[in-house]
Amino acid sequence: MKKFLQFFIGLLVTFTLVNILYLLLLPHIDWEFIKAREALAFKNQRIKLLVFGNSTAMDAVNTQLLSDKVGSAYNFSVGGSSLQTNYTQLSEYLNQNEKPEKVLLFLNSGHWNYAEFFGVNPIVEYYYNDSLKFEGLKDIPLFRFRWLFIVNFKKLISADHRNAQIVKGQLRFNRVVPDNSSIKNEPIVCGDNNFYNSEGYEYMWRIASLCKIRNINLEVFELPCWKQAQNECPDLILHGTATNNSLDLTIHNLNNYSKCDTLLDPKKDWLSTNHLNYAGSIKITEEIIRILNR
Amino acid sequence: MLFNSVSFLIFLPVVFVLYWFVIKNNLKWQNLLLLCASYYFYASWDYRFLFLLIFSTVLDYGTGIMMEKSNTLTKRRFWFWTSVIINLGFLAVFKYYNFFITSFEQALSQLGISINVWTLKVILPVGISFYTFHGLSYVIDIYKDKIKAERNFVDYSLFVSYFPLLVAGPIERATHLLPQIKQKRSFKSDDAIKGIELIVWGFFKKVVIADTLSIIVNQVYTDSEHYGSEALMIGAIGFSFQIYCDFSGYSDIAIGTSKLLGIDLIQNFNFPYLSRNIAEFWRRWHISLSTWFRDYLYIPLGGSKVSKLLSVRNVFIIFLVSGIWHGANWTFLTWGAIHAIFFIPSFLIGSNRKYKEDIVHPNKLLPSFRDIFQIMITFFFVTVAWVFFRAETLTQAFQYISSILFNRAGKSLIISNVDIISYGIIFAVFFSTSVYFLYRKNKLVANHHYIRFVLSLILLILIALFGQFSKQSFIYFQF
Repeated sequence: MKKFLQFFIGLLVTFTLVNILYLLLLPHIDWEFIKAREALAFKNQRIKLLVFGNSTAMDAVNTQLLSDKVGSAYNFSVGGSSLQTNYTQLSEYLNQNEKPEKVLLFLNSGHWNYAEFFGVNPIVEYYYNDSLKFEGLKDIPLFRFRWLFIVNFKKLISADHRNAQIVKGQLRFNRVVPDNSSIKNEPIVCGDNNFYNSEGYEYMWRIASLCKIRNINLEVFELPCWKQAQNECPDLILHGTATNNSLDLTIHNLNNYSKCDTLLDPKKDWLSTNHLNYAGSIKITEEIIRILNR
Repeated sequence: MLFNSVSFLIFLPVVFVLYWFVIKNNLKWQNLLLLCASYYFYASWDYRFLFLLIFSTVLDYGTGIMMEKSNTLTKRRFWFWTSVIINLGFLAVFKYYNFFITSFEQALSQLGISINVWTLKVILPVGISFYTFHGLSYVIDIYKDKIKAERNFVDYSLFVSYFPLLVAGPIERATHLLPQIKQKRSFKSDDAIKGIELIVWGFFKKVVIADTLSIIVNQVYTDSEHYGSEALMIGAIGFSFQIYCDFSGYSDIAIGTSKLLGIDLIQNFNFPYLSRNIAEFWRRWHISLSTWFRDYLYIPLGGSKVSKLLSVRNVFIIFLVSGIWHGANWTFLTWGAIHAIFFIPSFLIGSNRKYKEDIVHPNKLLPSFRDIFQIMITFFFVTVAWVFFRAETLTQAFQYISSILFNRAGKSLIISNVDIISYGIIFAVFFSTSVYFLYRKNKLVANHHYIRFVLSLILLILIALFGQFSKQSFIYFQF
């Protein structure tokens, strides 16, 4: 029995140690952990523009350029984030800091399962809520932050991943993956009030309500995707309610294919089907600045 | 209760501690504990069918004793056929009644005759095919005077309902399992360590490989008429590995769990996809079922010791029965028929008895090119047959295969969590290949505890990083 117990307990202890090591390592090597920690450390800051979204916004919104041309900006976006995550981040920021002039919220509805993300991103949950919660096996670090293993494993095998860097919350990637897709000939259904009032967008309205209560200007953008998922929809003016507030929102549609055709080079500006690289981020951010300055 | 559930992760240690620490050295109480644990395990799925299991147990226990006590052949036959008919009757009602009655109705309607049939609205009791076969083998062995009837009801009940193998096998024989149940067991660390290794390995196969592949396979098969040939091919190959990892993963967990309790179960899989012909495949795939059919159906029918024509008939019968054993659907029957068709040529030229070694070219690091070519051809045939096994209907299966053959254009696969899936598969293939080579150099793994420890640790890490934990049932539970 002794030999078996040594093996079994040894296995469990070593596995636990690997998990602890993984959790200790992530804040030093992972971009999103570094960012989340950096963002949480903001106290009494006076940042003019706050950027929220998921990984598409993390790559696409060049906050250095925004800071240079509009005013101080920080990109809070983290990969795989839901709008609920963005709401959590914004609430936390507003509790600790001075209110910004504008909140820029970036959606990516062109991506086929964008509105299916719910819940709070585990990294944000880890830093903002309860870092050491353990409610079951799903909370063991290797499982809870499993996708980060692959992200960081890619750094081992790809120079592009190693050379990427975080600047004011933006992840700058120089890699180029050309968009060889083509625009679909199927009729495109544009988002409308019903679409943006569905369950997946509930927290967009909560963010809008929070901004209204705090008297912050909210600008909402749809980020572009590859041609196959672009549309011909115009900018939209929406009406909705959240926390007893009646709200009006304008969605600036950057996924309109005429706009994308003018702004972006399909051969040079893409990183994946819905992520822009550094070159693309400069072009799209210039368009964002133009909209903000209207 | 599923092996891949949190409740099993609590259940097993509780049983283990009670078994080895609380009532150690008392065989009677150990067996009673295992029996209670087994009934609890089964009842946690659906307690109503526990009564069916107990009835089946009582029936075979009683008829076994009555057969032994019978002083005339007529009486002996009476008790034997009573058991066989009732056992198969249960299977027929729960598993096959609706299939046969609706097939009969459809056949008549083709002839222009319309009848109203009465179908049963019952769910299939989990594991019925497995525990029925346990009971049948026991009764047949007594009838043939191979074993004595078991007088201890607890021991016999445990043989039928032993929880590691209750719902999806391996299908044990009384000659192998009952003596172990009756023998005093002592804890052997090496066996228990091997048990843990097998459990971890089984979980890895199930939650990392099978359940990951199921995401792709289910997507393709649920909408197969709209997918292009490339996606369909991925779906077909994916299912070949999904079903292997799902079922052999279950068997590994079952065998490993049993080793923790000091009981050895028979091996159920032995690298089936490295077989060089269909006959070898069937010596390596679901071994406990294929040997069951060999011993209790093929040989009693005359096996190969009759005329060529009759032995071909016998081959067809066991493959068809094997197909229908898996489920009441024409797809399973066709799957069995296809295997029979693939098997017959090697049977006729006598090459079905080749390749009986444990692994391909055991003394070499790699199989020869000829071996690899044969392995690929066999895998191709097996994969074609799996399409029929997985499809909902024969029409779907034929359409699926014709779409691949005629290179039909259609939808491509869209996969969310693509990184987890693709890297999961890459790591799984890399790791499994490495383990296979270590297995070929068996002594290296067997004698180095540190290597075995590290392998188990890597498996646990891969399970945490790439496992799918959406409580997917094992495929063979439905049989």
